[in-house]
Amino acid sequence: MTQEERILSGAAASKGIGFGKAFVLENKPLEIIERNIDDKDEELRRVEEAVRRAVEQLEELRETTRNTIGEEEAEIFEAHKWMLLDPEWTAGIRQRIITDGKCAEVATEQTTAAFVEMLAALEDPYLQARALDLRDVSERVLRILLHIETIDLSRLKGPVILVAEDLHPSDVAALDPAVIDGMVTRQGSETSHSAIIARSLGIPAVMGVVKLSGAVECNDRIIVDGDKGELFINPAVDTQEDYLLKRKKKAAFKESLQVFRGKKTQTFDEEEVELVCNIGRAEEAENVTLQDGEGIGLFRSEFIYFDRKDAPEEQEQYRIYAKVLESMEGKPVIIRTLDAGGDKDIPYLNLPQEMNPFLGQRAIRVCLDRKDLFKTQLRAILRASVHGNAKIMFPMISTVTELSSAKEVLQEAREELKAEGAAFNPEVEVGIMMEVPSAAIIADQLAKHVDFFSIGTNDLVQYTMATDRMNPAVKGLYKPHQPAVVRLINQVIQAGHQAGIWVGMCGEAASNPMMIPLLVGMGLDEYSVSPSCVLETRWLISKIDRKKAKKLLPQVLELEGAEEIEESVRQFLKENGIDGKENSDFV
Amino acid sequence: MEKKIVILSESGLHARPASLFVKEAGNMASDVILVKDGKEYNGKSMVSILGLGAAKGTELTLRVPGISTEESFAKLCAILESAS
Repeated sequence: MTQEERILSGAAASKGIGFGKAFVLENKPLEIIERNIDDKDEELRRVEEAVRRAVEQLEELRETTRNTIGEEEAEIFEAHKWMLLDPEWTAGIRQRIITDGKCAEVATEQTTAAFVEMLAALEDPYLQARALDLRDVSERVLRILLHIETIDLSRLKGPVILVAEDLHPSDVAALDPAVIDGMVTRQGSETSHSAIIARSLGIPAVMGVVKLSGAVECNDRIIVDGDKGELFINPAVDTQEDYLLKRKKKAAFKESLQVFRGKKTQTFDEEEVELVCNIGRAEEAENVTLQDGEGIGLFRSEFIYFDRKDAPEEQEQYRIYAKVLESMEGKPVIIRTLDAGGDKDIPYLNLPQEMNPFLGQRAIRVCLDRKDLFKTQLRAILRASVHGNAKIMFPMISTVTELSSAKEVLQEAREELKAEGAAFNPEVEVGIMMEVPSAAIIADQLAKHVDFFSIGTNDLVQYTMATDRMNPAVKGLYKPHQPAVVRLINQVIQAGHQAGIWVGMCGEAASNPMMIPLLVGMGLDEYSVSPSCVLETRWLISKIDRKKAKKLLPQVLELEGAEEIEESVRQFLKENGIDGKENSDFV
Repeated sequence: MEKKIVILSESGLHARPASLFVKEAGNMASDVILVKDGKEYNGKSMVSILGLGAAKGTELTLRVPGISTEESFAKLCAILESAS
């Protein structure tokens, strides 16, 4: 039977092309039946037990997510936990049982509904998203109370496109990408937690498809275009062939990258650069080797300080650094010293409450204020330095004075270790993050005092443009292609080179295909990217002729808008044979 | 202890200060109550504080009826006053 092709559109929530038969999840609301209760204590006990089970489940889910997806996504379930433990919510349920004589299920449902309604009414997208989280959590408790298993998709045979009204983050985290080839939901958007998880799992997704209700039936053939945010229901033969071809090309592109494994990273005219990785937890070092990274350009040491009651001692830190250094077998490992504050609160440090945490006591400022804490870390790094090729990097430096003070503490650590007869490498390179505009402006002065710079574009853009990167209202300003940012990056690289030191980059821009031609032209020495981007970045760099990129630069530096700069890079990529035929992801 | 406070921050009592406040309040033995327009809200509950919807210019009363130290009371005030 042939059916007419229909196209629906929504938000492009997770990239890629999915192809398969529809499995429509009937999100039937849980059936909650009011019943008379004889024993209020029994109902209270049931709720208590269900909440306890739910907390356990969330903790398990958090652990699995942390191992299979990542730290950041795992935090979502930590946030869900506080909702379960919220005194108002639990009190509301208890009250409905004790005073109104409701059964546990009805009490839970009514209490949740009241809070969800209240949060949803506030017309604040953040609070509305929290209302969804609250629903997710309470549904978990209700399912436990009703003895209903959570949706079990494990028996599905792939490839399947999951179609649903909405999918909770916890549902998405449990999906198997080998079976689920794509997902489509009527609710949600590219910023919802479910979308974040779909992206990390590599499941193509279109969300917020307003006209989805009733449009799809089980076993309909579906194509999900997660790049454009479109889905095709019972696609015509032509459409199907187009997409099969597109998908084949993508797969072939990924496959073709494999020849770059084990190769040097060099430009088309054979100028070598370094391609290393950013990691948070020490365990991620494995990933670096797996993805063929040439070392670690940013080890975010603050992860060692998270999720604990007090600061890690020297010996514990020493072991962690030594392990990472050994696993890298002599390849460089840049350890960034503690970057606390801003949005990274570490409770036991008792950082002051501030109006503007990003402009306050943060990173090196905290460390210079707590020299003991700082020195403990520096001693640990120095001692570990005999196990490999360690480099030390200070975050958030904004003046020469700050840098001198940090180096003084480092010198004290060296002298203490020397006096104690402890082994360390006295030649460990010392560098700084370039993420504050004031530092970038005086890069020539700072360069005299360090062995390297690493440009942190995420913060550099935020501080240069006076733009909170989490604030959607000013999203247009938050771009590495803003002329001011491009000029600053260039200025830092040139100042570094003039002083004879090397310059790297560890922000997202270092793996951004639309930035790489500019960075090659500027002569960036080191690209530090997330492990999954290594091969693609190596491929792109190999396509770019440094001499041509260098010639492009003076024109770009005169352009007056981010859009013009983007356009000129797009043009450059096209002229150099990177026109999207090989990889439609970005051009 | 009791104190009247006006929320000065542009974005009101938003998620970040609210979560700081709940954390701090959770450490106190006494109840922590926020009063807005005569209605009481539980200061130890994130859901409750978010639902209070304190925009810029909102007048709140912070009430800690039980035993508490000057220091922890001052801390709570400081979070509300600097809410950003």
